Amino acid sequence: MTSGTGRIEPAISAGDLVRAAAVGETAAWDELVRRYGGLLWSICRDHRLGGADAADVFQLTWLRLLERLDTLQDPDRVGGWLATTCRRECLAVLRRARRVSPSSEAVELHTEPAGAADAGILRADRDATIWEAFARLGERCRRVLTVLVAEAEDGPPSYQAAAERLQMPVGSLGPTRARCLEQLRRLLDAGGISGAVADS
Amino acid sequence: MTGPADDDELLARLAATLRGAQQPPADVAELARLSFGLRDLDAQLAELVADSAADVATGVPAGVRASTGAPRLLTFAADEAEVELQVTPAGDGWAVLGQVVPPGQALVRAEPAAAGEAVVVSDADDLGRFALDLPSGGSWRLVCTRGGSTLVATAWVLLR
Repeated sequence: MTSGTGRIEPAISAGDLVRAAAVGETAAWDELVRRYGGLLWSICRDHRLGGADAADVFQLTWLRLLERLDTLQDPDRVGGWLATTCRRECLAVLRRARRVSPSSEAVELHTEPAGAADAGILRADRDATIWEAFARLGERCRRVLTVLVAEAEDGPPSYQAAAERLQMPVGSLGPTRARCLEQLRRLLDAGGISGAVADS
Repeated sequence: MTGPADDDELLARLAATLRGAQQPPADVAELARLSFGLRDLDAQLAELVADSAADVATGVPAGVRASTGAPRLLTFAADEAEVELQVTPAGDGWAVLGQVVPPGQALVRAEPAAAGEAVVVSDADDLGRFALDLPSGGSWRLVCTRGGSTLVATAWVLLR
């Protein structure tokens, strides 16, 4: 069930990736970027940063990890650490932007966190733990669950529509869904426990 | 022991996280991968301990805030050295005045995180003072060497 995404197996835990990167493994660093890149980019966009600001904060967040590779307190929770760091840097950029635009400053200082959680915008509560477990699923399960989630956004989940998009028989979608969620659950249970991810 | 209700709950939790999620543009992700080459194993890291642009939460009324174009003051500290910076926008880039503590001559190298941007170098005088003209914004760090060995490297700082 390997998905062949590179030299690093999806089953390798986040903590092992951090430790491998700390001793100079470029492939482990690349896998961290692959696994958490979408999470961090989405956080930047949640804060409504423009393209250039988002790109700067995204890179800065990775530079912060680079500074901390040897000293991270809990390498197994690197996803949460990255997400928190990214949010903090987003807010710092928003604050500085407000400071240099005096016209809006006085008003916006009273609504400090509003830049992050704009009224009327349904902001995703991005959960680094589940994001990581999802990123470690095989490609097929990632695709199936992505389609199911997307279908559910548009109204009551339609197995028929999802099955068509996935080009699979509708009868096998239910069992596939259950199997993929079971894998996701196992990865979640294994997450955060160093070395516990030996699910072959 | 899991059942359909647990599956629905898990899928809902996944949906909340994936909702509106986007992958970074290819060039942005590539830059993050390349950042690995910027790791500096020799230098002692000087952490940002003070930033005039980050004290908004201190309750100072808006009217007392520094006006547009005021320098941003940054202090980085490591066990054995400090770097103090005064950063002012200058054209597309930034003018930096700084001092290395303990004072003394040093070579100061400003390193950009952006691929393709050049390193900017300056000599600190007997008092450790130096000036740098950074041609662009983005993330930069300063690496100070004295007597042939690296004294200190600042944490990365985003200039915008």
